Amino acid sequence: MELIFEKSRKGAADPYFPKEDPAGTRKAADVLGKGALRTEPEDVNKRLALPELSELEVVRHVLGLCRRQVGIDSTFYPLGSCTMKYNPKINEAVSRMPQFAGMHPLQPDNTAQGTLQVLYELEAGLCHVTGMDAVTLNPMAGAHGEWTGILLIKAYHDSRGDGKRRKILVPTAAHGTNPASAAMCGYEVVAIPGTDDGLVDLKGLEAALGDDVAALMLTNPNTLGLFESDILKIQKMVHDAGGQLYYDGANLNAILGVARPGDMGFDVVHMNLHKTFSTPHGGGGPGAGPVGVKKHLAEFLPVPFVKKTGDTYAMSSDRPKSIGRVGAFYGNSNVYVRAYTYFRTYGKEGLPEVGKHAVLNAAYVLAKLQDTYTRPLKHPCMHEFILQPTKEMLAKGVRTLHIAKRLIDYGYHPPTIYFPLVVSEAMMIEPTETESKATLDKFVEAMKKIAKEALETPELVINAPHSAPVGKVDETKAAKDLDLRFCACE
Amino acid sequence: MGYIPHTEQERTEMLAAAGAKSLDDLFAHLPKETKCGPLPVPHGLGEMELSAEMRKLAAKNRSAVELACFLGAGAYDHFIPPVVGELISRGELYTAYTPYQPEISQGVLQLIYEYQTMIASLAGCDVANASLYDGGTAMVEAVQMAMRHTGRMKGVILDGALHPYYLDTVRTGIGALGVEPSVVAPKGCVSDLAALAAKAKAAGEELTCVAVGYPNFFGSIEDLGKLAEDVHAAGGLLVAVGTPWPFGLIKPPGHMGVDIVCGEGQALGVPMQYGGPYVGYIASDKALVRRMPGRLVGKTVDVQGRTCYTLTLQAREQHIRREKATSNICTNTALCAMMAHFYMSCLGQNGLKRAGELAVSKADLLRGKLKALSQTSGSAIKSVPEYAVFHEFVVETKKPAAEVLEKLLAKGILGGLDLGRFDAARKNQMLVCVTEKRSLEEIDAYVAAVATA
Ligand SMILES: Cc1ncc(COP(=O)(O)O)c(C=O)c1O
Repeated sequence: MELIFEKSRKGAADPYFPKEDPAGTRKAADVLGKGALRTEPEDVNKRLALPELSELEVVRHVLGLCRRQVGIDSTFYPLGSCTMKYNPKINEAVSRMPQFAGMHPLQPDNTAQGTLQVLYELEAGLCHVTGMDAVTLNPMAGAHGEWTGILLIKAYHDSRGDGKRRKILVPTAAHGTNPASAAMCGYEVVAIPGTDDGLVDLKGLEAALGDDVAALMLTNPNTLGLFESDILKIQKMVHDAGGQLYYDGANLNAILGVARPGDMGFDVVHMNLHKTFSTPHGGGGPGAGPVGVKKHLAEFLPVPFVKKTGDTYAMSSDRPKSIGRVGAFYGNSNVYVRAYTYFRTYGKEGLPEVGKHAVLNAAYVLAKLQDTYTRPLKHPCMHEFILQPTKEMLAKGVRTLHIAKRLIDYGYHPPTIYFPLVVSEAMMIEPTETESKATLDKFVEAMKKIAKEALETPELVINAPHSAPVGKVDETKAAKDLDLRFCACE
Repeated sequence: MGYIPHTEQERTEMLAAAGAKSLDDLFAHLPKETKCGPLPVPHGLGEMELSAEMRKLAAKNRSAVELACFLGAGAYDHFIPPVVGELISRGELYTAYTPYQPEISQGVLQLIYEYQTMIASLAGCDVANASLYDGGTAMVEAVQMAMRHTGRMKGVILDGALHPYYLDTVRTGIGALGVEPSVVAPKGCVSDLAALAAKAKAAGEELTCVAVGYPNFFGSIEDLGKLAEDVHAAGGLLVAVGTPWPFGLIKPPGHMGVDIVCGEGQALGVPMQYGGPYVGYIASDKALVRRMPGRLVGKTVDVQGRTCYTLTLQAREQHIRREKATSNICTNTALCAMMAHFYMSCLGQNGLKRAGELAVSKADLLRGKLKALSQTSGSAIKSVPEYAVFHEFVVETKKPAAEVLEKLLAKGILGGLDLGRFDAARKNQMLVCVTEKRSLEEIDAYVAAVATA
C-alpha cells in the first residue's frame, strides 16, 4: 500500500487550531528569534517529513492498513510464549476514563488518590499471586523486569561484601532477553544445558555452581512448556552454593492461582502483565514487567513506590538502599489500571480457573495433534507445547516455516516458530484459556489438513501463504539494502 | 467465569480427550509443596459491578481534565484530536503481538516504518528506531549506544540541567556497568555548554559522549552547533535529550550536528496517564544504525516483487545475539508510537508548527504577566529569570513554591512543579509550562491567583 507520505498534498488544512494569534500575544517567531527557528536543509533526509492530509484521508489510510493486519480480535493467535488471550474491553474503557488517562505523573498525591490506590492494591495482589513479599511496578516490560531483578541480586551480594559473584547461569532454552539482561548488568553469562526431556540438566547445573555464581535465571514453566519437576532440588542446589534464584514469570499464566514462584523458594520474579493479566500487546508493546521479591531484597527495590498511611496513599522515594530509578516515572501506570481491572474481574475464585483452563486448552489441542505431528517431549504439557513436522513431512521438504505460513491461509496467526532454539523445527503452540472448544476444534482440523497437504501436495504448503496481503518476504534484502524510512527524493 | 468460555459439557469432553479426570489432575505432576491454597484477594466481580467500582476509584482522582494544567517537566498536556483515540482502538492494531509474521502484519509494520520516518525527520536525523520504553530509558540506551560506537566506557558527561529522573535512570543504568557519569551543573537554568565542552576536552582519550538537554529540564533552548563541534573534536558523540514536540518549529538537534537524539515522545499524541505508557524515541545519523537498540522496520519486497515491510537488522537483537545484543529490549511501546504517528499525520507539518506557535505565544504571555507581577508588592512572584525558552520556564517565588502551588491548586490550577523537590536550593522556584491547550481565561486565572498567593 502507498505510504502516507505519497498521499500527502502540500498545504492541506487541519481543523484543530485557530489561525489567529491569541489577543495580546507576540508572534512565536518574534519570541523565539529567527536563529532558533527550524529551516530545512539541503539534505532531504533531514527535512521535516510529516504528511499533509485531511483527517478523513488519514483515517482511510489507517483502516486500509488494518485490512493487512491481524490481532487476537481478528483470529485465533496461538503464539507460544506470548499468551495471546482476549483483552477484555472493559480494561480499555476504564484506562481511557479521563480521570485515569488525564493524570499528570507529578501531580500532588492528594489529587491522585484513585490511581495510587489502584497501584497499591495491584502490588498487594501481585504479591499474593506470586507468593512474594514485595512488588515494584517500575519495570515497563519483561526484559526491563529481568534487568531490574538482576540489579537487585547484585545489590544484595554487594551489600554482603560478596563481590566475587560475577556469573549468571541461564539455561540454553531461555528467552534471549535473559542473557541480554544479565549482560547489561555487567555479568558473565554461563549457559546451562538441558536434558533430552527438555528440563534443566542437574549435572550441568552442579558443574557450573560455585562461589562465583550470583544467580540462576529460570523460566517456569520453561520455554518448552514444561514444569521443571526438579525445581525444588534446583532451588536448594543454587541456594546452597550461595546464589540467588531468579524466576522468569513470562509463563505465569500456566500456574496462575495454582502454584507460586515464592513457594518454590525463588527470590525474584518478574511477570509480563501484557501476557498473564490480559493487557493488550499493542503490536509490540507497551507492556508491564513488575518484579516481586522476598523480604531480604525488598530494601533494594527501585524508587518510587506507593506508601499507605492510614487511608492515604503517597508516592515515596524513601528507600535509602534502593538500586535507584529504572525509568522516568512510576512504570506504565495506565497498563496497571488495565491489569487491576482484570485482577478484580477474576479475584479469589477466578484466578485459579485461568491457569487451569489455559492448561486444559493446551493439553486438549496437544492430545488431538500428537499423532499427526511429532511431539518431541513426553512430559505433560502446561499452557503450551511444542510440535515438529514428522519425518515424512520433512522428507517432502515441508518445514515448520511452511506449516506456519500455510496456517495463515486457513485464517490463523501462526504459532511461535524456531523458538526455543534448542528444539529443531519447533512450533510452539499456546491456545490460552479464552479460546472455546469450537475454535480449538477448527484449528485442530486445519492443522490436520495441512499435515495431509504436506504429504500429498507439499508445494502447496511450501509456497504458502497464498491468500495473505503479501507473500513470503525477502528478509535478506531488507537487511542488505537497508531502508528504514521514506525519503522525499524517491 | 470471566472470559473463559467453556461450558460444563465442553470441559468434561476436553478433559476426557486430554486423559485427565479433573482440572486439578492436569497439575498432578507438580510437586505438592509448590501448590497454593485460595489466595487472600477480593472476590471476582462481573463487569457491571466492576464498572461501578472503577468509577468510584476514578472519582478519587482530580485529573488535568478537571484542573488547568500548567505542569510539564517531562509530561505534557496537549490537545489530542479524538481521531487518535478512535484509530488506536482498532483491534487489528492494539491486540496484535510484535510483527514477527510480516505476511499478516503489514499494517503495524508500515505504520511503524512511517513513524520511524516522521520521528527521524522531526529530530532532523537520518533514522529512528521503532520505539523504546520512555524518555529515561531512551537516554540510557543512547549513552550505551555511544559506548558501543566509541568502544569506551568511561567519559560519560551529562548536563546537570537534564530531567533529574532521567539523570537518576542513567545513573542506575550505567552504574550497573560500573560507570559513574560526571554531571556538569547548569548556569542558573541554562545548560553550561562551555563547561560541557571543556569537560569533554579534559576527558581526552576516555571521552564517550556528552548528553545535553534540548529543551533542557528548565525549558531552555540553546544552539548546540558549537558544542557538537567541540565534542567531535574531542573524539566523542553528542547526545541531545528532549521532547520532540517543539521540533516542528525550532531547529532540531539533528540540524546542529548532534549524533544521537533521544527522549520522551509522549507529547506527540499520547495521554499523560500518570507517567506511562509513553514512547521513548531514539534517532541518529545513519552511520550509527547498526549500534541502535531495539526494533527497526525496513522496506523490502515479497516473492512477487511487491513492496512490503519487515523487522530487520535483527542480528543486533537479544533473540539472536543473546548476551551480545545491543540491548535487552524486546517488547517496546509500538502502540504509543502508532498514536504518535496518528497525531503527527493528522496535524501534519503545518498543524504541529501551528500548535507550537500557539504554545510559544501563550507561554510568552504568561511569562510576561508574571514578570510584571514581580514588580508589584502583594504578589507571590519574586522574579522571572531571563533565558530563551520554548513553552516552559522557571519562576522564582517569594515564599516556598510548594506553598504557592497549593494556593493555585485550591483555585483548580496545577500551577507547575516545585523545583525544591529535586534541589533544596531551588525551593523558591517553580517550573511552569504553557501548552497550546491553555486558554487565555486559564492564563488570567493563573495570574489572578498568584497575584494574591
Ligand atoms: C520467556 C520470556 N521471557 C521474557 C520475555 C521478555 O518479555 P518482554 O517482551 O515483555 O520484554 C518473553 C517475551 O517476549 C518471554 O517469552
